[in-house]
Amino acid sequence: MAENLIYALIYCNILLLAVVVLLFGSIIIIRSSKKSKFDNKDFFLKKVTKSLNRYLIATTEQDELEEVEFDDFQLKKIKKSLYTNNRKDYTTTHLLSLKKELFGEMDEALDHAYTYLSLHEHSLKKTKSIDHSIRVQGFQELSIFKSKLGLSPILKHVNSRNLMLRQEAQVALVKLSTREPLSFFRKLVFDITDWEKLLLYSELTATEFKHATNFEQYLNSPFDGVNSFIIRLCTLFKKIETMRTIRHLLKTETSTMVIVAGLIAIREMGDERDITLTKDLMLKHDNDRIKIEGLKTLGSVEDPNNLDFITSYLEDPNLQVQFCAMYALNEITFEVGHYLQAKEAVLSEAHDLMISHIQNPLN
Amino acid sequence: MPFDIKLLICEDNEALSSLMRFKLLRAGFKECFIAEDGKKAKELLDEQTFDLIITDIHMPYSSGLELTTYIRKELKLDTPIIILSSESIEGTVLTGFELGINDFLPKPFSPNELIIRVKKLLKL
Repeated sequence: MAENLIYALIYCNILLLAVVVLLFGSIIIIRSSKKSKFDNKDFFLKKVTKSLNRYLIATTEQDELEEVEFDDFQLKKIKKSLYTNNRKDYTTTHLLSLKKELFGEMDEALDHAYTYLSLHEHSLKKTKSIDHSIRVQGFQELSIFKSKLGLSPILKHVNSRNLMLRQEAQVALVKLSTREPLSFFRKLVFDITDWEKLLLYSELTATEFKHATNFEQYLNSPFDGVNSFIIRLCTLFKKIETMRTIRHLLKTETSTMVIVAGLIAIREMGDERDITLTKDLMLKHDNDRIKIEGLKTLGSVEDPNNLDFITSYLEDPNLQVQFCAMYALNEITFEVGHYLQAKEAVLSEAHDLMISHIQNPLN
Repeated sequence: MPFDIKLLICEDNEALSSLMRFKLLRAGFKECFIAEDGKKAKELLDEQTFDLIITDIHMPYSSGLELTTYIRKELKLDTPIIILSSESIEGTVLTGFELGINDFLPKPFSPNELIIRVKKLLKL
């Protein structure tokens, strides 16, 4: 009897367990099928697009209080439905695709929507992802929507050993920093590469702040790449007020990269007092690149007092240096062939070819 | 005040075309069709008449300039055309005007400005 009771109890327990498992299992299946239906991208985006368009148009046509409340209502509707990462990604992508096409009030409305919908939190999470390409997505999203919360997490990657993360972090910081887009230069532990210089330059020319930025403050960097890049930026954006600092730097500098950038700056922004500095640099550094830039600079000044100095470089072992000297002579004399003939200079066959090319460039 | 006007938007960016359509309908234009590529645009143009066409330059199948040539040379229509483009290269703009576009709006643009230009071309 007792034995039968025990068996009955065990049997009941097993039945009960089976019922509980079935119940929970069905709940999970129903919930996941519900989610998968509503996570369908097209279905979700259709709903979001309707509300978002209403919000965007109403925001840029506002004046009435009712319309402002209407805006919030539309965004609230969207926010309630953003309970999966996929949906957050779809919405962010949708906002990004509008962001690149629109400007003005609409652009500001998109930034507001991004923050209101807490999509910046989703982007911040991405910056901690194991997958580097997702981290980069996070940087790009935060910087495009100008979310200042991204500054700190992105700054951590400015010295990353991973080249992609480092480059993308630098570009994102230029987009995000409203006053000093290159302030992260003070935190660098590696020098910047030529590709990074190109990316940064491209980004700076797209910002509104290139003319207000004080580049000079970064000229005391321990890295030659940074210093040469800053000098090039000063030249390109015609920061003539930085020439004093550049001259001072060139007097003690030993890096070819920096001296070459300095000589280009002299050519574009310098004055008569820089001619002596140019000649000194050419004599001090027996480097072909420095000689070439120096000769270009002397040629652009068109001062006949430099003719003898330039002529001496026709004997340089490097043909390119010789050609630059020939070109510079032509810039000053306009007829380098006649000038050298008058000087009874001994010319080689290469010199004759150079003269012919300079005076008849189409041949 | 509603305008009995039929517009065609040729734009492959779905988010943007949807927003433009919403804006134009809200501005009072009666009908607004969307073509997401040059092929669909030509099909719609073959079937219906439009009062104004807004087209992007870069689209699948046919560019905005090719579409303009199709409208002006093959369909022989003088429907006003506005081109939207992210490249404001002088050559592209001039080519567009030579082919017969009526206005050029560089991207990024303001939808409010688009409405003003549409109304101006349609003399509303």
